[in-house]
Amino acid sequence: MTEHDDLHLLAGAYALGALDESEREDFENYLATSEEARAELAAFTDTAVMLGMSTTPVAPPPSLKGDIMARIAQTPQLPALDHDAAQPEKTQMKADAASATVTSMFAERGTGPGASGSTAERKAARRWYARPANILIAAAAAAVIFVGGTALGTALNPPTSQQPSPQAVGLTEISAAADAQRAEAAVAGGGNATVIWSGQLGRSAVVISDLPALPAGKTYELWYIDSAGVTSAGTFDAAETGKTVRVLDGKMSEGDTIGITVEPAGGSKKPTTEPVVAIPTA
Amino acid sequence: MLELVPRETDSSRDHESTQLPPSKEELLGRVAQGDQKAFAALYDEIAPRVFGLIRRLLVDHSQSEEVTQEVFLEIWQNATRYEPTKGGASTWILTMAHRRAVDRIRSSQAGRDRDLKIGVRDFVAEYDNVSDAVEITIEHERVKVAMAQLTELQRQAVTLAYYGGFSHSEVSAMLKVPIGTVKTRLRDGMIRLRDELGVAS
Repeated sequence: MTEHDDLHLLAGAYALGALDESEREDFENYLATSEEARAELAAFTDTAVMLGMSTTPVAPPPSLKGDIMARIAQTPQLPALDHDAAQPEKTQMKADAASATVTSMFAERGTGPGASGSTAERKAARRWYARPANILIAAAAAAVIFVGGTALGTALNPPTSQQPSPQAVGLTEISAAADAQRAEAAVAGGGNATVIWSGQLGRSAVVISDLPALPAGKTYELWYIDSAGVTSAGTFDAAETGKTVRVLDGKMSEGDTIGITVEPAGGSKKPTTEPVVAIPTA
Repeated sequence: MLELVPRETDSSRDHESTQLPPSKEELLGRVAQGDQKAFAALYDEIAPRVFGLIRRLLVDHSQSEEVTQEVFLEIWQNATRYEPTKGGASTWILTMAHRRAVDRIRSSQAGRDRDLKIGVRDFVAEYDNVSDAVEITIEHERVKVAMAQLTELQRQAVTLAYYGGFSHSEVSAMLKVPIGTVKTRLRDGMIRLRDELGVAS
């Protein structure tokens, strides 16, 4: 067996993320030399993504989006690769290996007809792991901003000065459950509701974007609806800004439908209006 | 008794949704131009997939949030490098997410502690339980059927590597088979899955 045959065998492990760092590098160097290996890896990568797509989607905590949006607003983007420009030969770069290899994997996946074996392609193939030094610096700078941002964020929000709300904590616990699931529906009258629930915990929460505020004397009320009837799960008002988050009172059973109605202030024992939204948890 | 509103009904939007929402590939293209709104829309589309996959590997919730942040920052920074002709946006993003989650496992003490605690039987059993509990998606069903075509050893090795983030030497120790066998089983397993899932090679 030649060395290339050995490396060839690593394609499965590479696509599954099972190689250690030095083997990863060896394999990537090998990829640059073999059209066949690139084609095989492209198919394995798609296969691995199918495995990823088969896991249950989990809504991240709503606060995460705000954090990320704030961070990207102050993070520069990498310049686009100029494919025609002369590239320095193989500038090795370990620090940014993850993004470089994953990103470039897609920049070099071309296996189209007529493309194989040309000098241009082989040159392009080298860029899998070879990037101009100025791009490396940009990537490194961005990483520093990111890390700095994290540290600053922590410093500005020590746990004592800004406790997360009980609703946010509840929502986090539910979405962290192993069996957490979610479903969405539009709210009649405006807004979009997402129910997140865990049958194991017997808990659920609603997150509603753009929920209109109600006139004085009215409140939103949550309901568990099952074949036996309707049980109140508490009242709430629309958040003044951002998303409305409400962890439901009482115990939820999988298969219950979560409904919301508009009720007189203080809530009702039974719904007095048609639901503005109803989302089955099954 | 309440009348239930079907989940998909959304009459309020009918009149304004005459054109299809932009694809993830189109959104990424706009992100590459620095469009933060497109980034927010892309986040809404794909974040549950990214977070779900990362949490599947890391288990720990706060670390999963951190890594999800890293991945989205990377999407922002590298969108300029994404070429839609070379692969779908979901593939690009989920490959990055998996890589980042694995890197975190390898670099953290938590990962090493976890390795000591979780036996292979526990892990694979846990995986099977989760599989039964998850919502039924087309992808999930297809993967379940394809995984059933693997040999026991292939299935365990692929599961430990992809969903557990274990390296092949760890998989070798856990399954008590030589490392060379793990490498070939991972490759055989991926070939089988690729063919069963109809991924063009």
